[in-house]
Amino acid sequence: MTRYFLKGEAQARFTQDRIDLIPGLADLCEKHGAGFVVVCGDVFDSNHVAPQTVVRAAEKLSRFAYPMFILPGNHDPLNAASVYDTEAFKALPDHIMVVRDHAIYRSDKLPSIEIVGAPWFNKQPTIDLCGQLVDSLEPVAAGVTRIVLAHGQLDSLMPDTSHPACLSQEKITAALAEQKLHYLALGDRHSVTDCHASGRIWYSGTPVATDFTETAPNKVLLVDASVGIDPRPRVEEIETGQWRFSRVQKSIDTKEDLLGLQEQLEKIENKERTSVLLSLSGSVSLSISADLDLLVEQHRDLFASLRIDELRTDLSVVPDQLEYEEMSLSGYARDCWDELAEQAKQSGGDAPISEEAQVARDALALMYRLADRGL
Amino acid sequence: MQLLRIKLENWRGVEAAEIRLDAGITIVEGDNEAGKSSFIEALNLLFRERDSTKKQELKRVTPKGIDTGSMVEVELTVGEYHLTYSKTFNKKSATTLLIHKPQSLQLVGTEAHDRVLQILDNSIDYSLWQAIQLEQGSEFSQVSFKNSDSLAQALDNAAGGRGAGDGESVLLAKAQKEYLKYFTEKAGKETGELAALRTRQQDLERSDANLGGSLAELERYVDESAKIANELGGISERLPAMQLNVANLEKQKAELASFQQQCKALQEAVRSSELQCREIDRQLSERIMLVNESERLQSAIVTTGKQKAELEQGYLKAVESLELATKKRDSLLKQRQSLEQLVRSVDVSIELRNQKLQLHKLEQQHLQLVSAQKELDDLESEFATYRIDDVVINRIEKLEQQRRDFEIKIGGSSAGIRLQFLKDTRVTNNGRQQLYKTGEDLTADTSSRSTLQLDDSLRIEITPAADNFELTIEYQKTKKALEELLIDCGVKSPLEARAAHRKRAETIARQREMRKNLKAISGDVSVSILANTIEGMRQSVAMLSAKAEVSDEAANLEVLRQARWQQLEELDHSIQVARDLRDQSQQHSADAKTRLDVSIQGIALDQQSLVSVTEKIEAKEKELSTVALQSQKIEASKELKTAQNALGTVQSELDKLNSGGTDLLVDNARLSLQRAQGDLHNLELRQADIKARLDQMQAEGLHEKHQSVLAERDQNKAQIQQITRRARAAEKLWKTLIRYQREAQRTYARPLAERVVAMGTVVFGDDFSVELSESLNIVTRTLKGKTVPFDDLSGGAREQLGILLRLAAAQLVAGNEGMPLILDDTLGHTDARRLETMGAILNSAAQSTQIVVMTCYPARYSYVGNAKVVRLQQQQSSLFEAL
Repeated sequence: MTRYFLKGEAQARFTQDRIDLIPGLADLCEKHGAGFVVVCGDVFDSNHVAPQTVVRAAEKLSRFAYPMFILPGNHDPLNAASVYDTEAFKALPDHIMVVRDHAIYRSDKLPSIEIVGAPWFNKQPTIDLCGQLVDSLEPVAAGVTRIVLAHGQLDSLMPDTSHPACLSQEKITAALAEQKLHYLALGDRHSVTDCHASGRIWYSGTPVATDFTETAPNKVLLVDASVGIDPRPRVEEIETGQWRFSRVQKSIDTKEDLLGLQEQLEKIENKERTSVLLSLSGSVSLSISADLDLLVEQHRDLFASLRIDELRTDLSVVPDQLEYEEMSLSGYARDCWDELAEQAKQSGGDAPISEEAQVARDALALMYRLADRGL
Repeated sequence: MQLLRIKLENWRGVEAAEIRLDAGITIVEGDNEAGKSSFIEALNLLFRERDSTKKQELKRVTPKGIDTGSMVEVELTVGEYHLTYSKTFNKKSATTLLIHKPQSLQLVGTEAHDRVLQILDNSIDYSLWQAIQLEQGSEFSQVSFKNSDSLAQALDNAAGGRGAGDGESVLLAKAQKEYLKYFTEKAGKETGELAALRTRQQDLERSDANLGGSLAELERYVDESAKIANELGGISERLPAMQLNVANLEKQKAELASFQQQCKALQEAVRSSELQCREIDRQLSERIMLVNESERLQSAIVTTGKQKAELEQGYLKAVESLELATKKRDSLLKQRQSLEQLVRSVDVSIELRNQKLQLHKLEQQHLQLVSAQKELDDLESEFATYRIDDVVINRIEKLEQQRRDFEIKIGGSSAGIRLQFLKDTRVTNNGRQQLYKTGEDLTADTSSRSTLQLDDSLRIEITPAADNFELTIEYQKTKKALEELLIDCGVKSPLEARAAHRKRAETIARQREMRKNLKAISGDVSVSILANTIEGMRQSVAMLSAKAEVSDEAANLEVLRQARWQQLEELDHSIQVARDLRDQSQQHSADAKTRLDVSIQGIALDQQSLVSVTEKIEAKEKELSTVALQSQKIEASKELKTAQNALGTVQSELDKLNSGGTDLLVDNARLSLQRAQGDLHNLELRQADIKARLDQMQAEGLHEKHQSVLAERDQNKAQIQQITRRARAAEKLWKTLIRYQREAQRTYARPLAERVVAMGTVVFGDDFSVELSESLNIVTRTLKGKTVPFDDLSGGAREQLGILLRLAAAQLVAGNEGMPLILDDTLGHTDARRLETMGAILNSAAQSTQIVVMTCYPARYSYVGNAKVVRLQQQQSSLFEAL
């Protein structure tokens, strides 16, 4: 997965961490005594990833000791170009399984467990694949725990439920009531979500954070849905990924505020795996603005990325009297300063600063810098 | 600074020369090569070059063949100093400084040179001094004030201290440098990193489009593959059923072929029986028709015989009617002929009467014509006697006038004789005898020799005087000619001639009137033609009289003729009715004859046909009797019924098998199967092809390439936004700064321009103004509302403006130390009027600025009011003081 704001080695580190998650999962399985792993779609960003990406992932998977069920999702559907039909995947050991149809998996290696999934065969299904699957299922035999894997958006979480591919929560809850399944593992949503009061429908989120918009990323779910532990299965959120995508909002008007921002940034741990988006507001002098630029510049390389969110930043840079006097302008330079300062004021009230005023402010800051704070 | 004295020795062509300069204006006069320019050159080199310099410029100033070097010495005051400074170049080089004030001091060599520079630097703006000097040959060039600090300071002060300091200049340079990081200097186009980023962005956008296109293509293959897989599944499912369908249909088709064969044989049997029945029916029908025809013919013969008798009766009646009608018509035609004869006789009588009337009229006309013609002939006979026409009378009048003229002339010089007769007297005048009545006068002139004899009692001989002889001869000639003409005309005197001429004119008028009457009577017809016409008409009247049966004198001839014509028209109508009636009767008769002939022919034909039909019937019966033929018909009908029943049974079976549909179904099923197999094959090939393409494209890792491009594109875009912001700030700052700097420069240049205008108004006029550039050069001159670029001005104007600009600059700095202005041979392009005004300007400027003018044309500066004049002579060796 490529993030445009991650440059060079930060992007490489991000990519590698996502691959290294696989042996990490094996460690968690061992630590928590998990019997198997289900991945509900979008293991790959696309079926058209580079062959080396597939090979590297497959190499890690070939060393994975626990049964793993991989469900093709909307990013990696089981179509003619499916990544799961590559030679690398065909060569994986038998316990690494790709869910290719509605067949119910039963094995002596996982007694009393049935796994069944609704894989995506293309990127734009026109039906509720999960609903179609549960409709076809018969009630589970006594003493058997059935886990259903599905991918997509639950209609109960969607503002617009008109899309035919939305997963019908009503059908799922009915199937739960009919004992057709005991737990529905869902993929697609990058935030951990408990979708039903029964505690049997969960989105596990994403094991490695990928964006600023995610809620509770960097997690996997440790689930015990065995028959007999009613009324609710045991679901535990376990931290996995180290990447953080943090928004920092700060109001800056004084040098103290700037120092506060500096402290805030310095407190952030694991900076090389943290991407920060600054949303700043307030009104600062040219010198504070210059210091802010310096602060951002100095911290930029410490973080995976450090950027100012221009859309959410409303920071007015206005020269103050001290700066004006400090520069000791005379002659036409003074006239120039006065004109730019007048243009820089041109924004009224809470209205966003006009483009012309912004350019004038930038020009003043530049003039301040070029004058070495005094002529 | 003020120059007091300059001295040269061995400097180019000058052996030794010295000029003393006034504090105001000094005009140094001298011919060419007198050394004027050498003074200026020496002065410059004195301050600029060390005595040890080896520059070619210095080497050229020393004349060849002398042992000593070239020496220049100047005495001047500058600041608090009064000093004498000299240098000798090239040979025996030396530098000497003698400071007179404030403290006496003498320095030599480098020390002296450096000391002078130090004094100058502290006191005057050496760069400006260099700039304002106007050397020979540079009178059209502008002044370069680039390095003049003192002028800058003076202008700055004059402008209110708005000029730029060092700090502003540094800031401006930095702002420009910052601007040039992002934009080109001249066109202001993006350059450097910003331009490179934009180029890179375009590349990335293209790559994005290309990779996006490839991915879309890949997705299309994926979709197509899924569709093909779906179709392949469907075909594979349908294929066994299609094969079974073909086998069943082929079996059904074999059964159908067997039934169709049976059906064909039965159809042949039915067709054969039907043919036999139809043949028997045909023969029976033929015999019935012959019998019917025989009966019809017999009946027709009887009927037609009756009709023939009736037709014969009708025909005879028609012939009779025709004859009657013919007789009637002929009778009427005869009546018409008689009536026509009567009409013609009346017409003859009417014609006779008309011709008689016409004849009478012609005869009257003939008589009038003959009478008029006779009268005309008489007039013409009379006219022939009158020989005095217009020409002749004119001739007579003229001769008579000449004769009188001669008589008057002769009479004026000779005596006249007038004889008055108291009784009738016969007088012989020059041999002619004439009787004069009582009371008549005889006048005789005495201009010619003549004789008058009264009876026999008296003879008077007149002999004219000798003086009138020639006149008399001419008179005699004229008189004789008149008399001869009168004789020719048959008259005795002009009076008689005039009477004859009048009668002739009257005769002509009468002739004209007579001819007009004659034409009115005859109408262009001659008397002979009219006579012939009358003769012809008389014969015609005679003929008509012979033919006339009715008297032409009858009064009612027209009434009679009208009555006859009416009878004739009535008769014509009756004749036409009789003719129509006859034509109808003739047509009826012809029709009756035709019908009768047709009836006779019909009877004959029917009889002939009856014979033929009877023969045929007999022949048929003889061949096969009708009873036997009817038995054959019964047998054949039975056979046909049997075959039709069998065919119906087989046909019913065939219908059940849908004979036509089976073939189509079999063919269609086979083709469908073939097509499905073909589709299957093609789809498998296409699927394999797609698979190969997908494998190939998958190996490219398009997604990550695309993601990588998108990431770089977004990073690049963010960077462009960031740098664009910096660039716009730099652009804003630079353009604002440079705008104010130029405005400041314009303000700064204003005092200089004002001084130029103040002086220029004197030279050019009240409406004069100039525009100065940022580098303080004159850009344009405006005069009388017309603005002209400096370079487009005349040589004289440029020269004058150049001097004014130098004077203005010198005056501006004069308030401090001031500096001398040296003008080398200028105003050579200036006219007399402006020389006067320029002289006034120089005179005025010299009150605050020392001015030295070098010239070989002293007259140019004769207008300078208060000037010291120094004259240089070529090769001079002594000082010439002011005159």
